[in-house]
Amino acid sequence: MAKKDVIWDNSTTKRATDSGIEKMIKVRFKDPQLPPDQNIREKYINANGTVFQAINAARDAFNIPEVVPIALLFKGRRMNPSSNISTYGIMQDALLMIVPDQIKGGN
Amino acid sequence: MNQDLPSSKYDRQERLLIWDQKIIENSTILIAGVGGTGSEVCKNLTLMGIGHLILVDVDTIEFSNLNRQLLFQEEDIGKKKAEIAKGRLCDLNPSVKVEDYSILLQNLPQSVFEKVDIIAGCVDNYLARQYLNSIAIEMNKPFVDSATEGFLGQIQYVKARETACLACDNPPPPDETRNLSAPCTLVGKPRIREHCAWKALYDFNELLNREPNDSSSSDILKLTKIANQHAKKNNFAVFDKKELLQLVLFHVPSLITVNAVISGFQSQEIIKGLFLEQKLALPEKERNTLENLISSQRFSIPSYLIYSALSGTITTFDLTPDLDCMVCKKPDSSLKHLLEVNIDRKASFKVLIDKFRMKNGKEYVAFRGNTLLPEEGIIEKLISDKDRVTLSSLHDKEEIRIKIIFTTKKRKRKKKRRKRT
Repeated sequence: MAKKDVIWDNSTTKRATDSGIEKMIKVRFKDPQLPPDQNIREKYINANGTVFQAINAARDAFNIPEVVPIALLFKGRRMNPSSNISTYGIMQDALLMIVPDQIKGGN
Repeated sequence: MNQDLPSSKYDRQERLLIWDQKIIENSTILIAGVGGTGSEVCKNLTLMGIGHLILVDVDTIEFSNLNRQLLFQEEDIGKKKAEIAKGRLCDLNPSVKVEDYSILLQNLPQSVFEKVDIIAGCVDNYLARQYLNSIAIEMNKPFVDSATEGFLGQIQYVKARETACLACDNPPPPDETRNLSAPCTLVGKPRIREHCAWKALYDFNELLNREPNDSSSSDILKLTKIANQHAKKNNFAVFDKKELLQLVLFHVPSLITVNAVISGFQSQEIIKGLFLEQKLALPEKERNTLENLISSQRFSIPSYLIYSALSGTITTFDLTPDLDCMVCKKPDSSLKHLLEVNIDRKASFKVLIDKFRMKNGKEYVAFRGNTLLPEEGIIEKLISDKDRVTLSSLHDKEEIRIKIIFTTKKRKRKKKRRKRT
């Protein structure tokens, strides 16, 4: 698959790619495991993208390696990675919490 | 005896602002899983003077358990965890009544769940966790689930139809269980190759009355042989030893310190849950204090708590229930609740499906919410008298919940015998 050419401008909320123009929204990711003055970072995500893309954006924002499974919570609800961002009604400046995913042990 | 000594061994905890030892002593807690977190929770609740503990664990004690499961010693290797734990707990506090069940959770009679006040989940796998969750919702029992993995741990408090349950927002299962639909695969026909591996594990347990030891080459060989018999019989590719180990005997990293922190929190939330549930039984002064603390938001049970030993942080969240959750959504008018059905104990579930055939066909029978029951399965072999099953249609999401009552034909038989004599 050809690599997408991305024209990125911080002052705009739209991103042009070879597949069209994507509407971007600014969200705040919060990683509660970090100290309070460092645990919120802003990032633009594709408003019509998937939660999985948002998870990757969160990884990027906090430099979380892929071997660490994470999930996102929005208003107390765990977001399904295969769902679309738009199904959760996420608006500009929404706060998305980063939580560890798949903790399943017990012994 | 020195008169200055306290008269009760619970003296220090009874000095707390909110405490009623009678509530603790009259409570019954079911602890599912007596491993790293489970054994710590058992110890905490026993020393607190809980009235009745019910321990459920099908596992046997392994050498690798001994560094963190304080109830077990080297001479216990190979013995049943629940049984040994019972003995040690009775030594710790003889006034606590302890019951043990060394069986699969799915085989635990419904009557056991009915008598408990709170269910504590200390299990090590996704399916058992979801199974406990569905029972807790159906029986309206508070459920405190814990999980640990390496440096991380979490606790989720589920109050049926008030807080989010474990199935809310349908978090995807871990990779190794993604292909496994439900524990019904243990008794039904394997639908996918992975079911053969789980059937082999079940058969191994039945045959030798213990779990296979992942460091024993003869155990692994035996397990692989059984799994491959199932695979060949059902036209699936055979397993190699490594693959089978990864599939059914995979163990996550575990640290005693994380287990201790998480089990401490879990025990605390259980006690808080007991006081909340039985608030009216508290002495007036304690009850008023509790209500004041609740109204000033200084007493609450977080629905979700995460502990990271790496960063030393504890974070709590209030999870919101998913209104469309398949397990905990409030029953709508289309759900006919608890019809009582008299049925022959030797019949198969197909009889039920035929009896309640719904629109568009393709129905399935589920036991306590999420365990699919095979159509050809004999009712008596899989469920007991007065158990509840749910009949669902995959197409229109219609459900009927049925309480099964076995019909008895003993009287007729007696009459026949009399005639013969």
